[in-house]
Amino acid sequence: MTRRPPLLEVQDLSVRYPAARRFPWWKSRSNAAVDHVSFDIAPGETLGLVGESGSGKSTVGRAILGLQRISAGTIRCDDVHITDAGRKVPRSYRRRVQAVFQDPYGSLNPTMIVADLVGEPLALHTDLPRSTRTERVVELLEMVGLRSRHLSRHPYQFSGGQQQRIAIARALALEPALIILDEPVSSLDVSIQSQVINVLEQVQAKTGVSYLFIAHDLAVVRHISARIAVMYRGRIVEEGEADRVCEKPEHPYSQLLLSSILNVDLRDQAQRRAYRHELAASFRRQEPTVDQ
Amino acid sequence: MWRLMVTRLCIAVPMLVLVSTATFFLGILSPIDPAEFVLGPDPSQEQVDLVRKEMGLDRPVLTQFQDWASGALHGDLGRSLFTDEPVARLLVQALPVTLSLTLGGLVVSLLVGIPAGVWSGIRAGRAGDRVVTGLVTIGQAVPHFWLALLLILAFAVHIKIFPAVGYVSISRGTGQWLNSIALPSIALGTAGGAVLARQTRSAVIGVLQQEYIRTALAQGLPRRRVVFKFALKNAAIPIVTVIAFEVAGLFSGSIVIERMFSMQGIGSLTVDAVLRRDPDVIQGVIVVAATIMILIQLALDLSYAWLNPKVRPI
Amino acid sequence: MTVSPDATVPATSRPDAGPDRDFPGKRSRKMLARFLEQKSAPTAGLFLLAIVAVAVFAPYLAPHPQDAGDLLRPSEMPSVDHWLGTDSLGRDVLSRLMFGARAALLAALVAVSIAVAVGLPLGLVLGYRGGWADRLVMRLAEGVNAMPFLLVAITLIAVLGPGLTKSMVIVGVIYAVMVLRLVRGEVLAAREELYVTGALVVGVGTTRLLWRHVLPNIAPSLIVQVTTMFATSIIVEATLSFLGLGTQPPQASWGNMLADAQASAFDHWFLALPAGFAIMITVLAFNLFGDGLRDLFSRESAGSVLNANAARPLVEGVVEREHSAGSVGGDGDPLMSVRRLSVSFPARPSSDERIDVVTEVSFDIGRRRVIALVGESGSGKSVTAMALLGLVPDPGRVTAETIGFDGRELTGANERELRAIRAREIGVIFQDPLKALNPAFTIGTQMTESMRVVEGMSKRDARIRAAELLDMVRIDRAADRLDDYPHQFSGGMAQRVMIAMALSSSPKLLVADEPTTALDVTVQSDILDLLRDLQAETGMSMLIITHDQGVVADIADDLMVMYAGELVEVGTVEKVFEEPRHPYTAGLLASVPRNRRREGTLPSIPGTVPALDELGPGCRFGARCPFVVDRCREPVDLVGLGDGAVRCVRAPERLALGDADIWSGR
Repeated sequence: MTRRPPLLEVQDLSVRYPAARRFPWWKSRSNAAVDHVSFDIAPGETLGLVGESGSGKSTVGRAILGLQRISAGTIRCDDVHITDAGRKVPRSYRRRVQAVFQDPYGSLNPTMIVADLVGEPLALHTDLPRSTRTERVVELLEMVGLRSRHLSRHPYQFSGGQQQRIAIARALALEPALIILDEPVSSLDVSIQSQVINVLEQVQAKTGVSYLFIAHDLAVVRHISARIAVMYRGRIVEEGEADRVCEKPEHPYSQLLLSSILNVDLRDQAQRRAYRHELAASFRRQEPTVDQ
Repeated sequence: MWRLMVTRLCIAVPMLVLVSTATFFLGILSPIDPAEFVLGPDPSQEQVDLVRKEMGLDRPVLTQFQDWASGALHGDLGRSLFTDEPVARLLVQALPVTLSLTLGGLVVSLLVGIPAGVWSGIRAGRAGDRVVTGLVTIGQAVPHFWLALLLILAFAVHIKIFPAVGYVSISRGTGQWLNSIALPSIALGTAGGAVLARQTRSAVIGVLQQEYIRTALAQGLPRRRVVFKFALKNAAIPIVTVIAFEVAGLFSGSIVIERMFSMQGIGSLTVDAVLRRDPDVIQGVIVVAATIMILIQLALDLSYAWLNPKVRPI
Repeated sequence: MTVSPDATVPATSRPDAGPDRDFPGKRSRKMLARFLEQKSAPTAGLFLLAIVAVAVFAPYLAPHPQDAGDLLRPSEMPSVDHWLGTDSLGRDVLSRLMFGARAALLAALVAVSIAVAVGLPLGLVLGYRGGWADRLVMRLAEGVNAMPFLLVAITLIAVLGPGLTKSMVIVGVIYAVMVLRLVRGEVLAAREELYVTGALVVGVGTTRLLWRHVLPNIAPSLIVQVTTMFATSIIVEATLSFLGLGTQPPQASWGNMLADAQASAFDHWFLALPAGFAIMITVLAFNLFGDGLRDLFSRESAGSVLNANAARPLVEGVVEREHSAGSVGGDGDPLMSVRRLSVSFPARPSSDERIDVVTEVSFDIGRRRVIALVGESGSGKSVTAMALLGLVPDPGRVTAETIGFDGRELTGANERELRAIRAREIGVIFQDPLKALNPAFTIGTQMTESMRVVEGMSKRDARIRAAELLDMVRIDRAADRLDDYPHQFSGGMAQRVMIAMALSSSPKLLVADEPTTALDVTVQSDILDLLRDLQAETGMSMLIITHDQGVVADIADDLMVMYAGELVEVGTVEKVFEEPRHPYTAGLLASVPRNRRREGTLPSIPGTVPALDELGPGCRFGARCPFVVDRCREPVDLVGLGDGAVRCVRAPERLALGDADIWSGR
């Protein structure tokens, strides 16, 4: 099967942070948060980006959103390139790439009402008259399972799952080609998590949007993604079809990560544990003793 | 610790230079000519020119600044236009008075503020806390010079326990010195103590809600031990910051209080200099005050580093 | 890092725990109502309005002119003609007080307006843009702020010359520096907020971002600051006028009235009172008003565990029904036996109405068993665990019929008995180890403290023991690491330290509250391995609180499921996972993504957890349950079933609860 030409292309992306200097006259060095990362996403496809804290997975997401200075490499979405961001990202790029973050309450301005939150991107990027805009906002709300009676409420009047639905509606407002989902369900309760995942899948089926699904939970990522990339210490150590990566991981780190997932299946979990002990012994993963 | 001190000093020196330079040029910018002020209303132009020449005011501004700056580096801060005394000597005479009052005020506010704040912080929301909080709110609203006036009326005029005016140097005996600064210190320290109590209370309440307090209790440690061995050190971090502002506030306050008690401190010196437009004295005061404040800031930064291991370089 | 869905804050202070509620009225109207409830702040507000009225209408209200007096009647005490007496020049004190209010308020208005007009925009821009301009201005601002305020003001007045307006302009400029610092700090903090990132992503420009997004969010704290600034301006005006640098005589000001009072202190003491009280009460009113606003804007905060108490015994003597509990997997002599444990919190701060966050929970913890307490956020699982130890924070109230622990009764225990239990019998570890360890002390100090206080060990012995414990939890170079501070440990290592601390007294029960939620996946497995090994070695019992079914599968023998404050199912993990008997348990298990090939959409439980103050008498899960019938509207008991217990009227019917289709079709 030949894949369609990619929608998003990330090539050799590196993000470096200046390291803390002990004295001002010391030579400055830098630590790489993201180290020569390349991947692409086809239209309508979901790529899962998995890793633990400090692996650089969120930094990749921020770089694609133009929120993070890039040290090297290029990012292309559709026909818009961003290189060495830090200066303004073109408006045409903003219309194509949107985001949903982990903490739904924090990412919605608490002083605004739902109508303004979801309508703001439309007000900024289109010249739709107010009434059409409201119609469109209601349409978006209904797509994520909310109703028009929610329009004049503040974010704090909603539960966590509903807030995340509002965030999704806001991200959808401009009909983007790609949405960066940065841990979109990890702060939600289990029973709500699956609801939101299903909303995301329904939206994708309806609009054909692509997702970059960034998360630490491999089981969730496997469910929603066609392909998975595993990040470890700033690099992508393994990438491939979701089922292949989860069933026959090649890189030792992916193997360890996979064996560390707790499974609800009791017998399976006991086997996994034994397998993990074997792996851990061979992998000798140096656990950092001090937080960077 | 040393690195912190070095960097702090590196910042302090240019700061001092900046402050004194700014003060000097502020004097130059002033629309009021000291020469005219010396001569009284409507002097003739020749008189003005003569006085200006005597005072060296006719030279280019930069030369004036050079002279003043090189003098200042050698401890010569110029002379008062009125008493003709060297500014440095005036300052040396005035400084002990102001420092005594500032110190006295600080002691009073610490003695009142910290225990009251801790006591009510531990009982947040209960009756005892409400009483203390009420008193603190009132204490914060009392202007210290009014309190000084009331104290004079009560303890110097009606019941004659303390002197109404005058400062006695510590060299004349600690008892007399204490006696002379008792009322001004109380007047100064009360408002500061109220602010401190309020901040201490909220710091203590904040710390007691932290999870590590629960850990300590879960280990079976007695409440008293948890508060006094652990919580107070955590709470001290914000309190130290407040104390830094507090000292500057007390210094400000002593300007007024000195006048209430007719003491010849930095405050009286400043106010007189302002009313008489005596530029060298004003500059001298600012430079000395800035030096003191920078030193205090340094001391507080170091204690902050001790309290908060995260900022301490290893 | 994962943020846990379940913090240990009681459910009442979690606004997001509730479902989609219809809030009556607008937010502003609710705020007003809350403000008026406060009593002192509205009173202060009314008083301030009165002062403003007096100041504005002083020329019409004052019975006498402010600057001309009857020289024949100086220094009089209050009389019918002169309600507050006269000063040394025979001027009416009351009239001067009224005109003084003018000077005070005008001065405050000038100073604060300048401060806000200059400081606010500058602070917004500098805080957002940063860069060299920001650094330069901040250095200057720090310099100005470090200097004694009055000294700076007086020096600047020396340049411009004395006078009320000039002085207050100068004060306004110095205040502007303070406002600038404040606004900049708030903007800097706001810039890190996710909603700002969100706004950037949708393409919001800088101006709109600052005015529409940032400013409304920082406005509350600014308003509070400005209110207190009014208060200090009034004191500053009085001080400057007192020194002769502000309002010039014969114009009246509260400050120069006090200067007059000082001059005649020896012959007319009464003169010191009116102006002083005027200043004090006005400043007090501003401060109270500001405090009221602050309380209004600040979120309600949890109380401290310092004043927590043991559970109170239930007073009603008769137990109407047998409260079955999951006495599973034990040998009939449980280590801990809990009956009808309830925890309540006030519905609103300072309200007498209370809401149960835990309702009549009964269970046993068997000896040498690992029992998991599972639930979603707001289910009351953490509060239940803390209630056992008497660690529910202050406004919370715990009651129970009995909390039996190894032959002792914990209800009604006094502080000392409770302390002994915590010190020797029950160890606890918490969710976020880096928050649970005190950042200001080395871990050696924190570990040895209880050994020294409780066991009376010497410092040296305690350190040796602490090092042994660190070694036991597999921390390298244990003895060296005793002198490290918590921030020098990674999350996983810090959790090991916590475990070592909890085990220092070889407890019979270890309570672990979400012990791996804040940790990375691979670290989580290490910690669970460690806990399992230690439990096997020591033979202690373990109560694990978690929201993660995976953790339960990995480590627990027995399982209790909590929903909306009630236990809904109890049993062995094997049985419950194999065949859940409560629809909620079944739905929860069905909706966890398994690591296997995709089989259509993920099953999910519809709806959200009900708010605890809106519960009906019937089954609390009823509104979300696909199996709901009429009988579910009646109260449902936890009924023993096999060797477990279930709170569901349809449990005996053995329905196919786990059918994925039921949970997928909404």
